[in-house]
Amino acid sequence: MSQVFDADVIVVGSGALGSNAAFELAKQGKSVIILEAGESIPRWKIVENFRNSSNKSNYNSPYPNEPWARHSYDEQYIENIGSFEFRPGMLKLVGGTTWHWAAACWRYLPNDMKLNTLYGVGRDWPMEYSELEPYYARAEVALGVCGSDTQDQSGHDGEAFPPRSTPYPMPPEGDTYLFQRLRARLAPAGYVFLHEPNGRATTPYDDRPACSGNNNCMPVCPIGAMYSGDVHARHAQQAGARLLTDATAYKLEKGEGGKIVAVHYRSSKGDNVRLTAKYFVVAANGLETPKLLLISEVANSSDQVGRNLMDHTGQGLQFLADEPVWPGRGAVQQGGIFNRRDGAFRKERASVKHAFANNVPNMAVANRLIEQGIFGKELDERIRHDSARWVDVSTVYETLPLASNTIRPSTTRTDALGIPMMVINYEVGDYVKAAKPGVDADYADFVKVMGGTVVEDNTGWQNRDHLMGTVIMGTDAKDSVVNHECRTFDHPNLFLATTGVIPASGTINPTLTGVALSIRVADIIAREV
Amino acid sequence: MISRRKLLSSGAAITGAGLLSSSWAGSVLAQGINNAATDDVELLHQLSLFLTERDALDPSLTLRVLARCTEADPLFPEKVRGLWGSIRQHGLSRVSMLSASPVYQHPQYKDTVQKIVRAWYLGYTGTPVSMRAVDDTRLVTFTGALAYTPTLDATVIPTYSRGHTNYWVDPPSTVAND
Repeated sequence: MSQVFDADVIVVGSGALGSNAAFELAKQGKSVIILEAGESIPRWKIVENFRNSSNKSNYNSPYPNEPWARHSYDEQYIENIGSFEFRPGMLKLVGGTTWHWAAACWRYLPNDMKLNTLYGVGRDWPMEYSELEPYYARAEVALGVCGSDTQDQSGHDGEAFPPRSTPYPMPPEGDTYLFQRLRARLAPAGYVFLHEPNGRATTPYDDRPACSGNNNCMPVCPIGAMYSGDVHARHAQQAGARLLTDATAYKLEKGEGGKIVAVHYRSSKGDNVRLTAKYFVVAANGLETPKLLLISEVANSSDQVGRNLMDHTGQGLQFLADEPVWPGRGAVQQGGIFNRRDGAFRKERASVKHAFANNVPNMAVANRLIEQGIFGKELDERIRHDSARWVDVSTVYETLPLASNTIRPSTTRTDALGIPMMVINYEVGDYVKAAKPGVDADYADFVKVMGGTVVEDNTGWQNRDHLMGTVIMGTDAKDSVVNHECRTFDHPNLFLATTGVIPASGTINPTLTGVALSIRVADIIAREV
Repeated sequence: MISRRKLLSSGAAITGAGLLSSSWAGSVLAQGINNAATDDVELLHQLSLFLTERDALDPSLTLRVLARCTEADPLFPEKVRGLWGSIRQHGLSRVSMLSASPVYQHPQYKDTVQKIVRAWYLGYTGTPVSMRAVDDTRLVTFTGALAYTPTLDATVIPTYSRGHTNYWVDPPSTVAND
C-alpha cells in the first residue's frame, strides 16, 4: 500500500531562497507546502511603518517583531558570548530578509570556489563555477538582475568575467553623479570601479516598475522595483504551492533509512501540527536553519552544524569631499572598488571590496552639525554644503570558516512558542585582521585624492548580514553538512536552501548564489519525487 | 507668533486625528488645553523660531515636540522656561550667538537646546540605539523634518520620488554653485 503524504515537498521558510525553490517545484507539478513563521504584510503597510518609525536607521523597525516570530534585533533573539556582537538584521515575514537588502547580485569567481587549492587557506567549494553557471543565469532571470555584460568582475580590468552563458536580463542603470565623480578622480590613482549587478528593475519586469530613485532600498523599496522574496512567495502560490503563515517549524522527525518523515510546527494560536512529505527543504536562513537542525538532532554526524559561522566582516569610512558629489540621487548603492577581490595575496590575507553608499545623508549630516553647536541659517547652509559632499564607504572582508565561530540553540531563552532562541560565539579571525592595514591605507588614499575631511575612519568591525558556513558544503560527510547538491549527508531527502551552505565567502553578497543553489535543489528534488 | 485660537485648533486637530497618544497630550485634551500648558506650547514655539532662525514653524509640530519631550522628561517645560529666560537675560538676539555664549556653557541649557533642535531637524526625540528593537526614540515628523529642507531641490525625502529612471545621471542644476 502506498503511503499518503501531506505534500511532495515541504519548504521551511518563504524568503527568496525558499520561495524560489518552492516555485520551481510547484511549476514542475509537485505538491508543495511552504511554512513561514511570520505573516504576510503588504508593501504599503511596511512603507507606512517606515514613515512612522522614530528610528529610521534601524532597518528592522518597519517589520513585525512578534513574540512568536522575533526579528533579529529583538533583545532576546541572540545572546552573544564572543568578543564581536554578531547581530545581522534578519526578518520573519513572507518574503524574508530580502525585503531590506540592497539587491546586490554578484556571482562568485571561479577562483573563489577553489580558495584552498589556489591559495592554501579555507575550503574549496565541492563544485566548479561551470557547474553553477546555468543556475546563476536562471537566478538572474528570477530576480530580474540588471548588470553590465562587458566588465571584468574580478577587478583586474580585463575582459568580461566571469564567463556567462546568457546576458543580464536588463541593462544597468545609469551611473549616478556620485559614482561618476568618485571614479573620475580615484580611477587614475589605480582603483578599479565596477558597476554592481543588482536586482532592481531598469525597465518594467515581472510586474515590477523600473526604479525611480526613491532612495529607500533599505529598509523597503516603496514601489517594488527592487526584488524581494515576496515576489516568488506569490509566484509559488500562483503555481499551486500552499503557504502556511504563523507556522514555526521546531522539529524535523527522523524515520527509517535515515530519511526525514515529518516536520512539526507551532502557531501563535497554540496549534501543534505534524506534516509529512517525501522531501524537505529547510530555507530558514543561515542562523535559523542550523538552529532547527540542532534542536531536531538531525544532519549533524559531522558535528559541523552551527559551526563555521561567517559574515563579511565590515568596516566603514565617512568623509566630506572637496567638491559636491551629491549622494542620495538614485538607488542606495551602485558599485565600488574591486582591486583586492582576487589575487595571490589571498594566501596571506582576506580579499576586500569597497562600496559607496548613495543614501540621502541629511540625517547623519544634520546630527553631526547640531552636535557641533551649529544652529539657524548656518545649520541649513551647512546641511546643504555637507550633504552634497558626503562620501560613505562601506568595506567588506572575506572571512574563513572557523569551527569555533558558532550558533547554538539557547538553553536559557525561548520565544513565546517555547522554541529556543540562539547563542552566538563570534571572533574576527586573523585572516581578516591581516587585510586591515591595506584597507586603512586605501581609506587614507581616498580621503587624500578627494581632498576630503574625515568624519569617521575608525568604525571598528561591523556586521554585514551575509550569513554563511553554518551548514557547510563539502565533499566529505565527516567534515561537512551537505554535499554539492545541498543534500544533507545524513538524510537523503533533506536539502538545505540557505547561504549557510557556502564554504568560501569571497567578498560578494551571497543571495544570488543562494537562489541559484535553491533552483538547483528544486531541479534535483523534482527529478527524484 | 501664533495665536491662541490657532494653537487650540491645531491641538484639537492633532488629538482628534489620534496622532498624540502620550499621557501628557491626553491630559491636555481633557483640560481643553489649560492655560499653563498653552503657555508652555507658546513659549516652546517662540524658542523654536529663535533656535531654527525661521519666521514660521508648523504649530502642530510644536505641540508634538513638547509632548514627546515632556513624556521623556516631565521637567522639560520648566527647562524650556529657564533656557528662554537665560537667552533673554544674556541679550542673545540671534541664534548664531548662542553656542559661544554663557547660556550654551550651562549643561542643562545646552542639553535642552540640543533636544529641541534635534526634534525639529531630525524629526524624532530620544536616542536611537542600533541593532535593538526598543529604544526611547519617538516620532515627531517624517516629511516635516527640517534637515531635508535645504536639499529638497536636489535629493528626495526617502521613499518619495521626484524623477524617473536614470535622472540621477545628471547632477542637480545648482552643482556649479554648491
